[in-house]
Amino acid sequence: MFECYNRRLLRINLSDRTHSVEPLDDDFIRDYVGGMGFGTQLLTTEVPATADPLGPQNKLFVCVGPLTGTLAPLFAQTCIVMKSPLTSGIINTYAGGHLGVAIKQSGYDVIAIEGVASDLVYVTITPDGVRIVDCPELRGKTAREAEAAVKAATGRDDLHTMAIGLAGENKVRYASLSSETRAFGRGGAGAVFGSKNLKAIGVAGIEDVRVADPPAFEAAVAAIYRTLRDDMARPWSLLAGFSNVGTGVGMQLVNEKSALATRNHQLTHFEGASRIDGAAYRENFPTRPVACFGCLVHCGMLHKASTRFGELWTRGPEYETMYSLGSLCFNDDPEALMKANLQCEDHGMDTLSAGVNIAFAMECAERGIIPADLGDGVKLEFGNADAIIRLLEMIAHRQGIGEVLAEGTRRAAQVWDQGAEEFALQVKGTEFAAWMPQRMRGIALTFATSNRGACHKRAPIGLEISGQIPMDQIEGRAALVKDIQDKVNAIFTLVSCRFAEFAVPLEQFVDLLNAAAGTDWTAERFLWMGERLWNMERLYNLAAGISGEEDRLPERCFEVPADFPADQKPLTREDFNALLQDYYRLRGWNEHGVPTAERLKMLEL
Amino acid sequence: MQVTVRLTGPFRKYASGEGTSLALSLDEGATVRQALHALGVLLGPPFVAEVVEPLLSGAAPGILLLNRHNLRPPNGLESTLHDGDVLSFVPPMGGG
Repeated sequence: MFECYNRRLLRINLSDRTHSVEPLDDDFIRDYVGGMGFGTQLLTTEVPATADPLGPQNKLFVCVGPLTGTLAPLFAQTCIVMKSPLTSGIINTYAGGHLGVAIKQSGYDVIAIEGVASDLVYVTITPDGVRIVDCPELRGKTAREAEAAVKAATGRDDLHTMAIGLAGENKVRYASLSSETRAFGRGGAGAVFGSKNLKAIGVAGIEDVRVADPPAFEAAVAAIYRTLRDDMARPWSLLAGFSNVGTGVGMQLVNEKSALATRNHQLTHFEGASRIDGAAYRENFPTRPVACFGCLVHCGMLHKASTRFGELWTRGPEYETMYSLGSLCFNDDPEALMKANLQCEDHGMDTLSAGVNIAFAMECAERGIIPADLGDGVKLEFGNADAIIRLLEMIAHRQGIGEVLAEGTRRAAQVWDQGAEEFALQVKGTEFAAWMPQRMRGIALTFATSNRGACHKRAPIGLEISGQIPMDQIEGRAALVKDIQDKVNAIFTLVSCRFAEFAVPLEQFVDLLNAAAGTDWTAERFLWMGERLWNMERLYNLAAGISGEEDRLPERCFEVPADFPADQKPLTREDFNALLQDYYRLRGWNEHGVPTAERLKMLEL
Repeated sequence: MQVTVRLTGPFRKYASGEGTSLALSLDEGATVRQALHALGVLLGPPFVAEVVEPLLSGAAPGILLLNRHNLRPPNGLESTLHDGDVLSFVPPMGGG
């Protein structure tokens, strides 16, 4: 039993520059499964709910799961659980690539990072041991440069890495962690690294990866491959589209349905979308797909181009970035968008939060709340790609208005005031992902209620955008949102890629887990576990001071865009409140969004 | 009557030089099914094989919109078109 686990937690104390290994006991493994489960239990017990996310008490729990490093496809993700500098609540953030398998092979299920180093350091974890190394020479370097330097220093080709750029060092609240061609984008993991004076981590290992029941596991792996191949063989399959041109394949459907947030959600349709969608990048720029470990979809698209900004080489832009630094800023310049994507990779910033902050600044300038002059003749206005590129530098360096924007739209709106709060697109401090609450009721509800803020990962997007359920109706929507929130939590313990859920039935996830771990989960119990984790997060956030009052959307979401489709119903406050109360009821929470004793008992909390 | 056809994303390749927004002339009372056949004649065999036939057989859901709404084969194919309608071919989207 539990052969797929290393049963070990590596604890690294940056203050003392010590490390220790702790066993993970059977109860912990059985109850929390891995990934998000491990991280949530550890964070909620070890970090006080009122701790400063950028202070010494915050910790990062880097977690892999039972299926990490096995032959099962689409389980390459690593989960980091920590307190977010944007929300001050708990957050789980993910990156694919090859870091997860390296961690599993290094002999640990969790790497816990705590304390603050006296000077800038990097950490390596290899068969030679754990090292904490001073690296003043890496200060100010891009994430990619830092990763290369750490790899070179160990002399190991099999070292996989994650690193911060300047934005993390400067504690930009939405600084990301780059990990080779992927990134822990949302929530500010880069800033937490920066607050600990941690520049990078490199991991390599040579341990075997085992499973409890090899024949059953082989059969379950064969089944999921069949499922994925059948799905991708269908004409115009979504996963096949990801495989061909990347996540940008879906942009056109959203745009044609007038659901593509444009000009800071002032509009629903972007004429320039054809210039920056997945097909456009595939056609106009040299493109090479890059896969995460064990993945046949390979949705990552590396693009290389000679542009007016020089030679650019970047993975993306992803669909979400085509919104945040594209339609949202009214930018349809594919070269500039590539440059902006690369800046976010190099400096280590979440493209979503960065883009939303820039669009916010553009609207503030438009309304005369802030000056429109960025210097050197660069005007801060919608559609000006030069302004995007300039602002990204200013934010990473915390210069000029970049100092304010580095704090995120919620804090920036408080500083600049004059009604800016109404069009600051954030919930609980986390900037919107690429979806319009005004158009999609499931999005409206999940943005408002997700534990990590305005997150789209736990939304019934496929059902809504494909028209299988009407986007503008609330009937039954709360139940769908609750179900997907619980389900995604559950599969994020394994640690599954979000896209697996588009094609793979829940039973196949459970079969893989049971064969790997020697357990006897049912689909129902597995979902219950996901719901339990959701409530653990909720309780922690309530203790952190994030009340049900924060389950709300900015005013902009209740304004009707000028190009809103005539035959669709706009989002009203009545509808939103009905949705929210419906959701609270289904979750077994009171009318203020607090879990009732009865529900907590059912969830064994 | 005139119907606008929008070929977006990967569907643009079938238009080759015609632009991504085409005007399609159809008889009054024409159905979506008839429009698909007319498009097949206009755009050629690859479009017929890779787009029209999967749509007619129900194998490619979610890629055809009429005035922003999904058409659901087989019933959706019998929808009557009106002057000024917009038929959009879009790649599918699931989320994220």
